Amino acid sequence: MTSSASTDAPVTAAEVITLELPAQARHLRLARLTAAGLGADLGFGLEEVEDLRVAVDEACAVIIDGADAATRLVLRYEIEGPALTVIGTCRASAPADVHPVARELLNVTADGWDVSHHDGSRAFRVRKVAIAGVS
Amino acid sequence: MSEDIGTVTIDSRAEGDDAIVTVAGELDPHTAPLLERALDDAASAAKGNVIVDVAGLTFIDSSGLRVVLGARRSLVDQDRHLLLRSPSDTVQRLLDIVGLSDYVEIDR
Repeated sequence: MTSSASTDAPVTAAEVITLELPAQARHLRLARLTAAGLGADLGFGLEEVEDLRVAVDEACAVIIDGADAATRLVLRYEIEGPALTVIGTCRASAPADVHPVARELLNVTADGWDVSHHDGSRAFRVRKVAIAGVS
Repeated sequence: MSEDIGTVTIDSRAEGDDAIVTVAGELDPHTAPLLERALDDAASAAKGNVIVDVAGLTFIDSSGLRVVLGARRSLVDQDRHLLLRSPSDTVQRLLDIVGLSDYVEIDR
């Protein structure tokens, strides 16, 4: 995991944290933990942090579904003001299939999301904005 | 019977004709199959209903919710019930979002 963020400085301009891990379900917890930690740093409320955990988990699960053991999941957490955008990519020959239950959860827990497939890679983008930070 | 794969712990026991399955920790695509097996085993071993105690459940995603929904469906086909016991506010909210609370009996 690499980070350009300072631990003590207030979050202002865009900061980016990148996490790369095997594209396997047993590592989804790390993606959730990172999202939750960053959400807490941004001042997200408890429910917003829970929403963020669910949204990032669902989106990751969608794009790693069927991935082989050697495939890597690359996650980019972008912090800008009160917003956290998580972008995930994973090599895959076929587009991802979003189950209706996952779609329902993403619709409610994220402030915006999409899943795509380009040039042999699946990708997602999940955005969450701290309510307290919106003026 | 007890199973643990790191982020989830599942215990099963009989209580009269019913089966009690206690799940604690996090249910995601890695751990949900463990619950699926536990619910299948519990439904086979018991004559009555299956009660899933989720008081210790700290995270559930669509994979876990689908396991609960699938188990409920097969029990209803046998005129039996699946009951969720003591969901946290967080879990209850997710059940509400996907409409599961309309189908599964919940004992808060």
